[in-house]
Amino acid sequence: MQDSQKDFLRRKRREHLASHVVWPIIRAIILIGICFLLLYPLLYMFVSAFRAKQDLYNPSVIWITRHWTMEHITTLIDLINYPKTLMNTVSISVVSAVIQMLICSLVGYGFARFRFKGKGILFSLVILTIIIPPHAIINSLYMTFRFFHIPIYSLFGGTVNLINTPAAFWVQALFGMGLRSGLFIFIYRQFFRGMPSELENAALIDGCNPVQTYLRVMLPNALMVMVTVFMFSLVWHWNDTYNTSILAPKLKTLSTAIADMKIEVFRLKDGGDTNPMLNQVRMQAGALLSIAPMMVVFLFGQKTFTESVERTGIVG
Amino acid sequence: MTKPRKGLSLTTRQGLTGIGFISPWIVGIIFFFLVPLCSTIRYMFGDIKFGSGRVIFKYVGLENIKEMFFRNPDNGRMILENLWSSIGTTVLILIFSIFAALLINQKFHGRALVRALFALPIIVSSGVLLQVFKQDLFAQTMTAEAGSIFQSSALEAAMINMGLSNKIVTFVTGFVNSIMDIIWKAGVQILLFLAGLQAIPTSLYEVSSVEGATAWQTFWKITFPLLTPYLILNTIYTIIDSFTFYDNPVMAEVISLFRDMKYGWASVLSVVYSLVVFLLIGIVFLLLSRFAYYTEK
Repeated sequence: MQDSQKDFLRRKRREHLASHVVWPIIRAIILIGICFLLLYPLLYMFVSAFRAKQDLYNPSVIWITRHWTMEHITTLIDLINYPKTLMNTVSISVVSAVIQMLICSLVGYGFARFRFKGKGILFSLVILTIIIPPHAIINSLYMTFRFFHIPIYSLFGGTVNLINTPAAFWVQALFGMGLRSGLFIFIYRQFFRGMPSELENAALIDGCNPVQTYLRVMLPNALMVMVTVFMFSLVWHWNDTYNTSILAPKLKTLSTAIADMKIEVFRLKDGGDTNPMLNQVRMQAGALLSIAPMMVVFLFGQKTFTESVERTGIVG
Repeated sequence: MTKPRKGLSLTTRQGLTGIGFISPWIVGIIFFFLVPLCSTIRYMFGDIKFGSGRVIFKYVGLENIKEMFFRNPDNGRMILENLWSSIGTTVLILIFSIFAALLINQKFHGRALVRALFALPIIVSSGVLLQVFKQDLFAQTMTAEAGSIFQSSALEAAMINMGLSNKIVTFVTGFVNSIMDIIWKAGVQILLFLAGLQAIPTSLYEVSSVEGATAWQTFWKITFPLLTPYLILNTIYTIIDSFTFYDNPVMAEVISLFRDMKYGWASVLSVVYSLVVFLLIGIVFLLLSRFAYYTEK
């Protein structure tokens, strides 16, 4: 009896030691390691983007720069035509994200709350749009937008070339076929399915038609999901290089500009010669320029972002 | 669900309203998905030129397919190699993201900060930037070798001296070398798993601790089964992501064929590649959904 009690206590103490002392230390080491890998490139980028030329070959300068300069930033602003590129990126990503946020909620609500013939088949098509990789249709999408038919205008045989315009992305978003729209429709559907039907019944009794019910009762409740969808859509459009490089090769966005930057940076001369060290630093300055707007979004929206995903419980 | 109460007319009206809500999508799926899908398949068998205001299509039979896969042996091999490496990365990303989600779901000081950092890859990472990140001046000046930050040459040498087999050494060093990639590509996955962990009712954990289950048992009997729906979602997401990623060679090839206006060839390559990805996703989905555990049916 005594022995078994001692054994029990000893075991408990050991468990306590493992879970309250040893594990936190291991966890801290792992987490610090991962966070280092996450922060390192960013810190490095911030530091080296402002490093003056005379510090590049100075072995005593590793992190903190002695001479600061805005030279690389201004070079890169000229090189990638930053104001225009930024405007292109914003007009593609922000506008598409807003359209996607609204249209996908409409479609998701339709799928979640109404019964009609062929709904099952139609919804499996939504899943298909998620699963089929964009490669399969991008070639013909190019043709669709190269010779785009606008309903009444086309009666006279004319087509519009939407390649290299943001409209190619807006039109897709408007008809629920934008970048990863299927996923957003799925998320909205899961959310609306979980809403209590009493809300709709009450609205119906109060004399709302379905559109009013949707606008006044359902959408305000779905605010968190809308934020999630908007943020994801914004980020994915911002970082997309695949669709932009095919549908809008000449319309440079920040992502495609950075992708092409390397070649252009290495054409830059430093007093007649190519200076690889300087060019590396210039690349970092370019990366910083392309990240900066998203970093601002991140600083302000990070908390809403993580919380909204947790609260909406995407899979449902 | 508002149930139809006054007979058929309301049901019909309900149905029509529903179709009204999804009507933009119906237009979209026809004109921006089904039609392009069919015409890409048609382009596989043709020679494409631009006329005034339309596409000129000349039927050439299996010529494009022969060109891409029989006369040019590189494409088939490229797709296969890419398939294997993508599967490998997908598995590593999934394991890492479950592990990371479990870690940051625990309570500790500075958790908010760590979570904020873990959300960084979602927002700033694009394939392009990842490549810029990896071209690291600091590491190059310090170790005097061009390449990525974390080289495992010392580890490799040590492991070979220990007498481990070549395969194990390549696997481990491959993992170490790609750890930067994995961490930066796992942002969304970690966030989704975290959402999954938060959705598990705490009462289940209370019961298991009362019953005397160890942490290991709790993970496999409670946490993991309840995470399986998220695992499916994440697997599909990761596969699609890895196949459309910036550094994917097949994708780069499609784009370069496209810029050379070889639309027929580009169509062949992209359709075949999509078919491979689609089959892979289908197999994965069938395999995983047999193990998936849903709390409410």
